[in-house]
Amino acid sequence: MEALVPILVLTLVVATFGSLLVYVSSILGPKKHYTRTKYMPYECGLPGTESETTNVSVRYYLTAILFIVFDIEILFMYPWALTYRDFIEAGHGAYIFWVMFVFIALFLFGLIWEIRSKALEWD
Amino acid sequence: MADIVVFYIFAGISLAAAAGVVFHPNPVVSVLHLVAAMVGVSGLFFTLGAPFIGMVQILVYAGAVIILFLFVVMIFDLKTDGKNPFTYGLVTHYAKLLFIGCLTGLLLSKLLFKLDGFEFQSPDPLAPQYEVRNLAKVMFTDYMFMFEVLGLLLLVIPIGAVALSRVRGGTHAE
Amino acid sequence: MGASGFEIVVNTIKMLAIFLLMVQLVPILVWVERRGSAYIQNRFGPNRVGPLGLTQLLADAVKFLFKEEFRPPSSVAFMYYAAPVLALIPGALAFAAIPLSAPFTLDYDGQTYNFLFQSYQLGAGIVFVLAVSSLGAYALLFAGWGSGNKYSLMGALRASAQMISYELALGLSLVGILMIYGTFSFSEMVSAQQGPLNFVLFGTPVVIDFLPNWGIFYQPLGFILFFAATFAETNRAPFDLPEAEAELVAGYHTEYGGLKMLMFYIGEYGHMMVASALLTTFYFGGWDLPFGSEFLKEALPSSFIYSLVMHLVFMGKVLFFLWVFVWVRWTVPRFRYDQLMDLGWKTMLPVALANTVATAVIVVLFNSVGR
Repeated sequence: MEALVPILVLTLVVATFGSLLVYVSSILGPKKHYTRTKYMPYECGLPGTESETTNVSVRYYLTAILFIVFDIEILFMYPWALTYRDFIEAGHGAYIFWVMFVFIALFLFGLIWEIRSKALEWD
Repeated sequence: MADIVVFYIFAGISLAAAAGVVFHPNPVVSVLHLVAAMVGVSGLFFTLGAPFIGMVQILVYAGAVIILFLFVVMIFDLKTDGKNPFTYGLVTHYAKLLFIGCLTGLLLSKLLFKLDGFEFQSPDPLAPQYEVRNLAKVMFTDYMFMFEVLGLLLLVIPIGAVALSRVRGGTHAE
Repeated sequence: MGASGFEIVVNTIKMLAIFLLMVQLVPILVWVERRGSAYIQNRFGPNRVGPLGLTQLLADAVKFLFKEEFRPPSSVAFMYYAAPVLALIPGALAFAAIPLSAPFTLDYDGQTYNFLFQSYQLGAGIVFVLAVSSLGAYALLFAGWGSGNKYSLMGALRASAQMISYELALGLSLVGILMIYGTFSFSEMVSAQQGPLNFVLFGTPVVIDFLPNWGIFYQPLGFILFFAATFAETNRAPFDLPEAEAELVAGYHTEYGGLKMLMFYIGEYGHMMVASALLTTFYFGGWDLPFGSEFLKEALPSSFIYSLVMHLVFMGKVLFFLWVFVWVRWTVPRFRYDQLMDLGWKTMLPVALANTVATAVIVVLFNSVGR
């Protein structure tokens, strides 16, 4: 709880600093006249051909869902890595090793399956 | 005093952002509101004295799940100026109102009527089980079996996702 | 923030100083990048304005200030303006959680106060830095979606997919170092890395006098993986696909100019500084000066001056890594997108997993490495 106050204060300071920069440039900068091409979305100098929203490849969805799964597995390894030495010092080194070994084996099986099923191919 | 102020700040952020998720017509902006809601919930975990859970909340939900939502929303065509039946239809409109009404009623009933045997126990912020080290020790001893089953469950999810994205007609079809 | 008024004042000054340190380093880094690139490519680079072209930074800042404020009509106003501000926040928050030097004491009004050389200390500092950095993807997504330009959107999507892919390798390469030191706290990790290299080999203590007790000697593979993943996380060459100018104009900041563009730069260099500081803290002893820390502590008159000297040591290490970032940019060509994804998922992730298992086996066999 005490740790939260400085984080909030710093966030506020940075946000204020950033907003100020954005605001300052709107005061100091010159105001040029309107031209039609200036206000078009930039497309290499040619008139725009497509609308700005394009459909996204399904691979982004696959990448994201695989990321979630592996991210959660890695997050479970963090408390394990943190207490690994404690378990060894208490004489349960083999136990805690095999607990995680099974987990990592499942992780690895999943990863190999993904690679072999070509879910991670980008072409 | 300070912790009450911080609590209300985060509660306000989460509620306002959650309202934005429900009411914004553009699905992409709606998903981005969800990020703010998650950050607010993470702050609430901090005020409860569970900073590790709060950080994991940001890492998993804001950093991963919502990016997935965003990709999923962007897979669909959004060229119709953001106004489409998904969020503006009459049925969804009433469904939203219905759900909001149910949830508000639930909260009000909690505030107005006290049910016997349903006393809410607020967690003790300084309880030792919130410390990561103790959390890990409990997880790898008492809940070891659950932990391995979770590993198995996490194996099933990507297999299902790959199978789904491979059905006929999809861009990933063979 | 602190119990007494004096503590609150010092902590606030410290916090602002660390934030300003980050912001002030950016023009110097831009200069280093331009002069360094010129040196590598056998050019001169900016050398006309002031000695060695150093006042070029001021000229650039003034130029940025007086650029026209412009927003494309197809953009979403709030997201377009919020994106550069959001780009600043993750770097600043993460940098503030890393100890930049030894703790120091100050006397005031007859009392002695202890201060840390960082804005705030968290028990799970490493997880905090990872969590905050993972929010960095939203600045790009805000910019990409808010600009209303298809190149911006494509750049932002690529960038976020790339960031999440390499976040796995990054997070997994840290498991080994966490296992060795058994802590989430940066300060404890730095204090465990002081003195000469010493570990227990099958019950016999081994001390190697001529090497420092740094993490790189315990986790060489983890260091390489972490180092490579930080390049992808910071969107630097050879992983700068989000702004591959041959394909995407300038990626997510195509529609930005002037100070808003500069803020994206501050964000990117802030991420680089965080990455360098993390590399220093995990693998190169943090603010530890090998074979000199003890001597300096005796020789220097106050703990505050000692702390400042140690801060210079830390910044020296950080600046070295920042120079490596520039160096690599002109050495390794840019990856293709499928090569990038293959490297992240099919090479670095399995290798990081192998590193984790190997570290676990070694720690359980040798029983006590490092601590």
